[in-house]
Amino acid sequence: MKLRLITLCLLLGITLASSVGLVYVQHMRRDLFTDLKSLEKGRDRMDVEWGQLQLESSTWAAQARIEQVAIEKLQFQVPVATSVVLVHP
Amino acid sequence: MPRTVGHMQADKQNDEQDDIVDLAWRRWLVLGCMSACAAALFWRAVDLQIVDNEFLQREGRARYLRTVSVPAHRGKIMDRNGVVLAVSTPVDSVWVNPKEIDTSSAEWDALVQLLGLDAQRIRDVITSRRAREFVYLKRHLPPAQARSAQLAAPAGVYLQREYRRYYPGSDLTGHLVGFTDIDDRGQEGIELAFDHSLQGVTGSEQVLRDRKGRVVESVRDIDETRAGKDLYLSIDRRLQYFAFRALASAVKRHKAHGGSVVVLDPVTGEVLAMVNQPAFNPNRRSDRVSSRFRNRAVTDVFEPGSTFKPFPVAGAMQSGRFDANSRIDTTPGTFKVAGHTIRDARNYGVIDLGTLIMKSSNVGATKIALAVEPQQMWQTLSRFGFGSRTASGFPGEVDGVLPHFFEWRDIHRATLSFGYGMSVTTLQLAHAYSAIANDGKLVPITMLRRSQVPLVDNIVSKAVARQMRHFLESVTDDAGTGRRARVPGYRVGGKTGTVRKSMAGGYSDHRYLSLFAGIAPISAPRLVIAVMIDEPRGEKYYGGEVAAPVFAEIAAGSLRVLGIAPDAPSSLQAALATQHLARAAQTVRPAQQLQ
Repeated sequence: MKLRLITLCLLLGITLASSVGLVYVQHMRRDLFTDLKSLEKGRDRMDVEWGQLQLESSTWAAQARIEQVAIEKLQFQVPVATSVVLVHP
Repeated sequence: MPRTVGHMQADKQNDEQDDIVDLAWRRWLVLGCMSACAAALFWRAVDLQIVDNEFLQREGRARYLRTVSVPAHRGKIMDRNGVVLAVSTPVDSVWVNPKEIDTSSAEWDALVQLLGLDAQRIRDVITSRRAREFVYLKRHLPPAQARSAQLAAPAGVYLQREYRRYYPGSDLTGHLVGFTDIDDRGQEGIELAFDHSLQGVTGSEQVLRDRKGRVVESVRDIDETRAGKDLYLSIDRRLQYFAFRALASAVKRHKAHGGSVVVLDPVTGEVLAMVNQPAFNPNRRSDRVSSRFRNRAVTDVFEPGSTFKPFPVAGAMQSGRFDANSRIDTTPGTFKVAGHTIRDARNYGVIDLGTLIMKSSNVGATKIALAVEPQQMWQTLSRFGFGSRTASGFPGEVDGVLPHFFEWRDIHRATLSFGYGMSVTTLQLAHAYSAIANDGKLVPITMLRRSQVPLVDNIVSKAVARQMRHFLESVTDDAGTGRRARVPGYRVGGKTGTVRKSMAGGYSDHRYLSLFAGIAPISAPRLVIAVMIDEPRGEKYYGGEVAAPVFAEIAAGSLRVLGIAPDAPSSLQAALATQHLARAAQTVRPAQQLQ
């Protein structure tokens, strides 16, 4: 009789603990999920920004513009044949 | 006295007893009412919880379950080095619900003004669509304008997030990349060819939200989301630029109708550059007419003329009937076939195959072609890819034309040997040359960056291909037709062509195509470049004068940026003298201006 009562109490306690644990884990999971979602949102935002930056860099780095800046602003020249030294490995 | 009192008490008691009877009746009434209410409430509770529990659950779900759409945008298109050629970026579109909108309010007028719309036209549009609930006001606003529109928006005006495609390469890669329509679906070029993998599929999922509106759980996917895949093309934007610049300036200088250039990597079959003139800018919607956006390098065919000669000659060598030492008598510089006279520029006498290519002798090519079995010749030519389409997968690519040998009569065999009576696109011409450059192996074309080169069989033997490259190199000798194709520091080879345009009723006398197809560097080919210039209307129209310099300019720039070591450093010295002269001329010029 006594043993039965102890077992019953024990099982009751375990069940209670497990149910509290379940609620806790569920809560934790939702917390983490919220974090995940906000991180994903951040990733998407950064993705969009990355695309825009790539677009910008691609526009600034257009060969025609580089050539123009190199020749007109920086006074660059294509090296003449005499100043080219070939180094054979 | 007590009696009296007692009497009085009795009287009172009697009265009270009457009252109690009354109260008891009322109590039952109240109790009855209350228990009826309780029963009703209980029944309602039972009804809600057990009988009709669906209702409460639905209402509950409606308060925390939400269906949200998961946006997926179109993949980027990049060149082989990861430089962006096309990218989708979010923009906002303004739409209205005509049922909710009041077009007479001051806010509305302000909005219309902000968006720069015609007030009367918009009012007409909205009036005519009174019955609808969705009308676009303006699509694809820049984010800043969209934000101020949102602030100014009266009731019934909404914003919708959409994606707009930008092409930073603009006219440099316009024909190649193509464009999408306003809903971001591929319409032309690469955008159309790879639309399926580029396109993202916007999905939706059901989520749980807590009281703060945060998403706490994903319940299920309703529509699966598929992100658009990024695409890496085989194109190198630097080479694309060299090709574009060289072609554009040649077309302008020679007042030509247009032109195309294709640059291939013969070893991998990758297309490194593909440009056309007149140019097309996909960012400008008004440019989107087929005559402008057509990628002529794959959609337009022409007769390749002399640029085709290496192939019948290679076929003849492959058949074993001819070799590098074979002699062909081309005297007296004309040759009659089936009543037609084939002519050379002058009488070359007895020549070998190398001289035939170098001088571009029609008579020699005809005699060789007539000596080889038609079926064998046809097989070799079609294995070079003539008469069919490349594997580029480019939308609108047309088949080349190569008549079947059953249809060949002598005159066909003769004209075919110098590139008439058949036709190619610029891409197909470049592709055929890539087999000569790649030791006789024709690698299938691809527009995408390739990591593994497919194994293919030889069309002609390695020895024949090398011999042919040697012949092609001699074309750029001092005595050859392609002198202007030379690139200082490198050994290059190629073949010129000047083709009369075929018009209704025969060949034109004064409309030409100037062609050049070449290989660089000859010792270990890395580039094949085909140049086609349509109707140069200046003084010059020969392929060697118009198209060959374009080849040289593109090859020089490309070899430099690709870091390919010069295979003929000694020719740098030769170039030196010319450069000195050029610089001397440059230094003279300002002095002249001073006078």
